[in-house]
Amino acid sequence: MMDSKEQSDNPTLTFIFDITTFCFIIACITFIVFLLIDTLNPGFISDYFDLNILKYIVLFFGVMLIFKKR
Amino acid sequence: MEKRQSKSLKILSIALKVVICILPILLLFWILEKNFVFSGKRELVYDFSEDNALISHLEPWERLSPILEQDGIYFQKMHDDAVYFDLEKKDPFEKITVQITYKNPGATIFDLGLRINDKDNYKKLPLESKLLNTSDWNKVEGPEGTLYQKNNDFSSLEEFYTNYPNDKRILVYNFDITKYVPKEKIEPTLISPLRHNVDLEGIDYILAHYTPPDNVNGWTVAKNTFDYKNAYVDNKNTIRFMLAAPGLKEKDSEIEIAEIKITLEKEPLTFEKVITKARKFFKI
Repeated sequence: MMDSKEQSDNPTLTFIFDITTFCFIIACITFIVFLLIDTLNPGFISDYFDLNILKYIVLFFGVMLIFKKR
Repeated sequence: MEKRQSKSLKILSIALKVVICILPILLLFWILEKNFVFSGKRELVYDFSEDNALISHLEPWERLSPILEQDGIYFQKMHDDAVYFDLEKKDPFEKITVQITYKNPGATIFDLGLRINDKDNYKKLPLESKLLNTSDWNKVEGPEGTLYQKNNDFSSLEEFYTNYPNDKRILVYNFDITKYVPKEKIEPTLISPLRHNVDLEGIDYILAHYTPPDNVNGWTVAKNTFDYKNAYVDNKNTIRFMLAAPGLKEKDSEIEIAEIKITLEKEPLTFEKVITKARKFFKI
């Protein structure tokens, strides 16, 4: 396991963590917005797109972020 | 070297972020198109292999077999005179075309119905008539339908309307004769609808607005189109359809249904229309 100084010195790792954080934020926003639209207008999203896919994407990047913190 | 690598990673990071931002926007546009159908045409298919979000299962279950599979094709057998399915109403359209893929060894007539009011009345359109498919009577075709005649009396539908034989028995199948022949010329007792148990003895003419179904890989494919404004939308926001095969139960026969395809059509939403609508909305 790398310490935090080593992490910040490694540009590739910084890049991966940066993208992971960004993906997590965008997936979170998309999931919340889509869920809100689908709650207000049932079936508007869920009739055509499985919202669970977004949930799994959020979970995946969320778990990746835990590693970043560690 | 490290600095150059860091710079290229930074560019890659920005590019990736732009792509990541665009993806949900594209997804949202795709969902908007699915809901509002800007193209003006939406196709829905229920092929019994998996559920369709907008087309219900066939019902009632007592009149149907469980869903079966043979050579990779899923189908359900109906063994009663009528079964139903629902379509969830989304946007208003102008036309609904329903295409059924099936195998019908027994029923002489197979019709498609659209529920038109809360009293459970259906407007029926033909899918298949075995009697007309196998008829060897002389056929005279016109844009409004086909005249089947026992003897070769008329050469065109216009001639038939002009010299209307009001002393002969006529069968009609999805054909409104009053549109073409004055009512005073028509003897209503001599006109009857084409039914599944009809006896052609004493019948001289059949007037039908009917297109025979196609045969695709051993399956019969038939379709018909309804006016969307005739459809009754119930309190569950659904439009109900009926598949009717009168006499099927009596004959102890079955119809295998493999696919229900619904095509909804309206005028496409063009850029000019959006501008016109926006102008109207903002009163510009």
